Amino acid sequence: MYKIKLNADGTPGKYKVRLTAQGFGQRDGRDYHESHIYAPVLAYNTFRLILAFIAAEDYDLQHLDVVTAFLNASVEEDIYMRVPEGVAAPPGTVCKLVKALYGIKQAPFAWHADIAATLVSTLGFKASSYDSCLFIKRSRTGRMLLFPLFVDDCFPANHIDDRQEM
Amino acid sequence: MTHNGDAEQVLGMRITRDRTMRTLKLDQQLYIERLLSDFNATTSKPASTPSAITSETGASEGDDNTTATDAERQSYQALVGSLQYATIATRPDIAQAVNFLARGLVSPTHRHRAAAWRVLRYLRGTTSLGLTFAGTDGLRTLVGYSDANWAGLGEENARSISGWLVKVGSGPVAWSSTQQRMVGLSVCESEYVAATLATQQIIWSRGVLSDCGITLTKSTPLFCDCRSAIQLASNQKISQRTKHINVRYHFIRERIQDGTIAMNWLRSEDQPADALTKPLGPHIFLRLRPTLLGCEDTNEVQHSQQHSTNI
Repeated sequence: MYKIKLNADGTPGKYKVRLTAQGFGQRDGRDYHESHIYAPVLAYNTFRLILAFIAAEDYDLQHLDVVTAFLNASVEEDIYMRVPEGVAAPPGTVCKLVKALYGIKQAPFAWHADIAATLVSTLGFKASSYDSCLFIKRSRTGRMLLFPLFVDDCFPANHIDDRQEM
Repeated sequence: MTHNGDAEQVLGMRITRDRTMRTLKLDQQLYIERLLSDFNATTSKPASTPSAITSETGASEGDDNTTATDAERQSYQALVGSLQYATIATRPDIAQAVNFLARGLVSPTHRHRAAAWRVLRYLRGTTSLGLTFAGTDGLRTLVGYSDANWAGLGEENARSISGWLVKVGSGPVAWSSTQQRMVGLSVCESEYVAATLATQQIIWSRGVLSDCGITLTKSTPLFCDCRSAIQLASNQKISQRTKHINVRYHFIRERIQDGTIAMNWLRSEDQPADALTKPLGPHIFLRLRPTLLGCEDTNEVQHSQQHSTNI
């Protein structure tokens, strides 16, 4: 899939190419599970409650954008696809996906599961029981570090005294 | 991973902070300007309120019921979808109007399309309006408002409209304007249903705050302008007139008993949730709007009003 990003003056800017899988060829039960195609997103109500919190506690609010998020997610199922055009491969070869590609049905689910696991197991955050896209951790100063997640946009929030920890 | 520094844009919403004053403003000016240009409303005449009091949304007189063409329907659906995003994200002031529009999604009539145009005209004069969170209010000031428009004047099926708003201090965090699921037999019953919906949201908000380390020990006030609904909620008695109310709505009684919420009376004139249940005239609407949006600084509102009249 090709996309040409235009500059502000309308001249072609950077050329964007992304390899996408043809997810519509996937079959339920074989290539994906029906329950594994949805990913939770942060509720707007949660987000505004966090904004009220940030304003009251004078927290920093950052923006982290995970580049090509879905390509980082690992897939559980065995998925094979045709070799993309322009790749030299012996005839009869297929590709097996190690990581998710944009376009496969379980990409959003797999990405959310991966980032949630990293936040919880590696970084010591806990998912809120009221919104599974809000991650929370108590800092060394006893304040809360907040990590709300909109798919691949993260908005980590922390008190000024906790800057090193975030 | 790209670090984009301080968050300024979130899904089309703009965050503006004043850290010395501890205020945080959230608006969708760019989104709304784009929406106006997509639907050819950039030169429309600004309206002071999002919905007209009668004709457009009121009784169905003058509604010719002519079926919209496929193209008209699609363009209407696209417009309502775009307005809904603004409603959900930063604009409780158009929630009631957009809820009315959404009920016409399947077969929009002339009345629906006229009402949609009215919302665009209102937005045209108020593109920069958004939510303001005043950090100095603290976080222990969670408060709820609920109201209902009984038998939803002008609604064909006589169902009431629930409106509720939950704020942290002056900052709005959650709101809703929805048609109730059943016909309420009395004003009191409809208000009771709306108060129960607000209670659910308050409990959830208290939960999120407690996860963030703020445990609220005091009851959260819920303001309602109907004394009999407050009586009904505070009283365990089931009378002849209330025995038919679905048990799910009695949920509010337990929450009052365990001290999670406390119901208080508030006169209708000061009830921001009133604007979430029915079209209001410019005088009341403009007076309630700052409470709905959290902008206690009325200069801004006046400014955008002047701006809209100058055009």
